[in-house]
Amino acid sequence: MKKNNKGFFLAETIVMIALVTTVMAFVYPNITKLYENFVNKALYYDQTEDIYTLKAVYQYFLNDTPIDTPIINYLTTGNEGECDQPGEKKIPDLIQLSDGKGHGFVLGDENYKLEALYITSYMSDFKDYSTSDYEFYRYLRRMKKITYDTSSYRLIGKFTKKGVTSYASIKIDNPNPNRNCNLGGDQ
Amino acid sequence: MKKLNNKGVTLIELIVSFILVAVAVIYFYQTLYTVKKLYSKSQKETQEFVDKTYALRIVDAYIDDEAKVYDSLTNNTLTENICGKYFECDNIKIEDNEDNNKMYKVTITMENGEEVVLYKYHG
Repeated sequence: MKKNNKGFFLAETIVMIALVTTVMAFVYPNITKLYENFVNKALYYDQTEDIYTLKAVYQYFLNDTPIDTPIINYLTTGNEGECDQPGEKKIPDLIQLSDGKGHGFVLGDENYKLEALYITSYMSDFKDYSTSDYEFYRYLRRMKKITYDTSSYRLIGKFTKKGVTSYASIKIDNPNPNRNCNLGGDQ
Repeated sequence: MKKLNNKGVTLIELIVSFILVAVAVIYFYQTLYTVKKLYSKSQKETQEFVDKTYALRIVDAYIDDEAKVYDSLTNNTLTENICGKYFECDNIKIEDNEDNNKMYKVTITMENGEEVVLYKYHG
């Protein structure tokens, strides 16, 4: 019987290894990203405890301090009451809410703390946060993807639990539907 | 009778194939081990998450529906009426919030010692 001398050339082997490596190089970072997103979603985003806190805080704003006040203040002092014109962006994406004592809205201690509270609208794109606070920016981007109601506003909280930061948000009504301008501008 | 087939693998080929299989098996077992570990961890975390969410819902609903008036809430009332009746917990503590007097803090100490915090607005 004639011996079979057929086999792979070195060149064929190298080409195949190169192809497989290229595929792996594309697949691996995506899988890593997928896992990171899963961990963030499961452990650091929209935890029940944080959502209950935000609900209580929202009740406080509904009953005690009108939540629209900081937006109106910004529009009258910071932006002179003018809405953004096409192509310009003077109105910010987010406004940090205060408890009326001259600093941000803070609750709790080092074990569980609401560190900062923001209000935003669906229209915001949050690009300004991509460099200043990347983890917060990632949450904001994800939040935008899951919001489909274009008239909705959101109350966002930044929490720390024993040194670990987490984020949560609840959908709220537009504090003043008659206002001409919205946070984030009319894009 | 059919002629004996003398084709076979050389020692080198055999060793190389064993090494390849060994490497593949090592990675396969590593993956299996990771998946098993992840599964156990996720089961535990899911259970903790369910317990925590349930505790928050029960205490929140109890305060809204049963107690209603903030002044009538005491640590003993909450602990006696909720812990062991609706879910297992060590105690429920209620305290004023220093940062904002319109809010109060309810701390639920779960069976495993973990503390769950619930903030409420009392007007």
